[in-house]
Amino acid sequence: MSDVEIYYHALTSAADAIQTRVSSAVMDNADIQGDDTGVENPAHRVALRLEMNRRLSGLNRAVLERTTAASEVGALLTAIATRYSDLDVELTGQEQP
Amino acid sequence: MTLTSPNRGYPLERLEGNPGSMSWWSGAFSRVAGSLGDLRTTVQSATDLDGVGASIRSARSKAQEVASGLAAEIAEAELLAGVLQRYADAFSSSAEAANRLIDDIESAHAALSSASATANEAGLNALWTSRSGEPADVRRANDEAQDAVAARDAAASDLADLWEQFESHYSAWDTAYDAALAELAGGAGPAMTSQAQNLLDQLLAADTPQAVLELWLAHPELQDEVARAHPDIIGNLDGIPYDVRGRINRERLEALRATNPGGALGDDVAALWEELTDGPPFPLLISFDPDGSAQTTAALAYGDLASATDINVLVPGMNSSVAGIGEWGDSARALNNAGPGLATIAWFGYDSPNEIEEPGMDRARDGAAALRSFLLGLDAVHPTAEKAVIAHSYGSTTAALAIGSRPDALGVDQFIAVGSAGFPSDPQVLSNLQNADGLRMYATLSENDAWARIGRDTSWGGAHGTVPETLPGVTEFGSDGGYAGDQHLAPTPGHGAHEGGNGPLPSGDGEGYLVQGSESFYNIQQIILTGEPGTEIDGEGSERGFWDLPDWLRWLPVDPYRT
Repeated sequence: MSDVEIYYHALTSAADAIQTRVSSAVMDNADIQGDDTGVENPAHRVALRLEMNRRLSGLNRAVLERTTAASEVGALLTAIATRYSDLDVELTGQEQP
Repeated sequence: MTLTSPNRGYPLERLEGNPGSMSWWSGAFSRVAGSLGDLRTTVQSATDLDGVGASIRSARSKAQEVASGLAAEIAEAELLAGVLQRYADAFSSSAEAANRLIDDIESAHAALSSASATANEAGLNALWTSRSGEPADVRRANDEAQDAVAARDAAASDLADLWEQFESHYSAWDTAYDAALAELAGGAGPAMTSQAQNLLDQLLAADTPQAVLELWLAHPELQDEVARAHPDIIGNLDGIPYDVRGRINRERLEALRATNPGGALGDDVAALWEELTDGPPFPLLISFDPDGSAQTTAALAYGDLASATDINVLVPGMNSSVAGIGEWGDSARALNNAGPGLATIAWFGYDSPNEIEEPGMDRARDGAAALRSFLLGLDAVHPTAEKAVIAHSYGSTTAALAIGSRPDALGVDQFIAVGSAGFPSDPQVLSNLQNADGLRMYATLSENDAWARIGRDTSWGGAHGTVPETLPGVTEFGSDGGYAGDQHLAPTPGHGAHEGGNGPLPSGDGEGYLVQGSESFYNIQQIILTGEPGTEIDGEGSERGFWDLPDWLRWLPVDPYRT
């Protein structure tokens, strides 16, 4: 197997692994939506319920943004691998004759 | 009447909470933390990929940025998982234990009352017998009295033991609740000095808005630091003075507006900004929380709260949202113009129900807890001003639940319900409302209002099927058209506070309950100014509405009409 082939597989493997992890994170993140964490209003107090809702909403949004960014990393790697003919350049930094 | 514990003054009420649900959410946060950890490891691996080309260097750089950034979300997910699970565990061991004692304490309290009465009776009997009875009778009466006193003392001891257990469990729950809040606050925002952190912890642990106010005023040197570190908390914490909250929340709104939010949040922000810049005088944004509930919650204060002798609080109902706060601002300004010394707050502080949620009490329960805290805060900061709550539709259900949650009506002097979806049928709530010192209640239902009637009759199990207009102690006033002197007052054409509101059913002609020029709004102004409505029900100018047909839907479980 040539260096370029090895490099190709390294890139596609990394991209696939990232997309798999992104999918898992997105699935788990989908669970933390809603406004009923079970805290309710004990002794008519609302502070903990509201703060928990604020924080879970913020976390949910942040994870969405972060998984989108991670997915873009995977897409970048895939794009490099797709340009198979350019892999020597990417690997060595030198134009091939 | 709700009992209170003898030493700590804790109310003998069930502490709400679902530890099973909390544990599930804690697990969900842990799963997020775990999957983000796996993602970070995988993305980090990409930084080791070979190559020196521009694309791979860019990809490695981006991977490093993502991997580093994920640390914050992992830490937050782990924090939420830990806080919630610790609170769930504490709730199970303390709050649920306290809840289990409630029936026993009520029984023991009743047993003590009975034993005390028996002991008193036996004592009187012994005293009477000692004067005129035979020696044998005297001995028997004395023995019976001693037995009764012993039984009473035993009952008192049993009750005291139960109260002691209850207070111990309640106190443990209270500590756990405060610790959860402090831990969440400590995990967010910039670092503070230990003194400021200590003040924040105390503010979060304060049991009442009055305690919050006292703590805040006692530490002027720390106020700016705490407010800058946690503007979302201080801007919404009941008991903090409203000028402080208004300044903080305006800055928060401006910052959010600069991000050009879209969707419903964008509409909410735009509506609030339009109101805030409509003046002078400009209203104060005294509450603003885009994330605590499914809907954005906010409150705008019109007029000078500090100098007001009368402060009115408008509470919206079903399907209300902050995006529509502008027309409530119009009502607030019109109300303030009715006389001197008036200020009015448009309180959008809860998730209002939609048509599917309206039959239930869940939205009212959450809203009532928030409104209760808000009203207690208002009373703490402005104790001398008279307070009126003017609530529409399901907002009146929510407000009744809040105001009726304590025998003192939370310091509210006037409670005015318009187009009510029905008061809660909880006997304790109704008793508090009807017996609170200084509280006067008023209600009106337009003969054109369809949805209020439907709401009363479709509440699950009659949970909010109590008709306010006929509730003893409530003064009913008209909303079907009339005259104020020579000025014609319009009837309310449907359920809406400001527009028709009967959709998809037809509405009539006229003005909403809270629109200047309607009989309803004129009466509200007069109630606030004089304590009495300004027109007579069915007086001159009153119109008959479609929904007043006497034989309408007699099969309904609750008579939704005036009688």
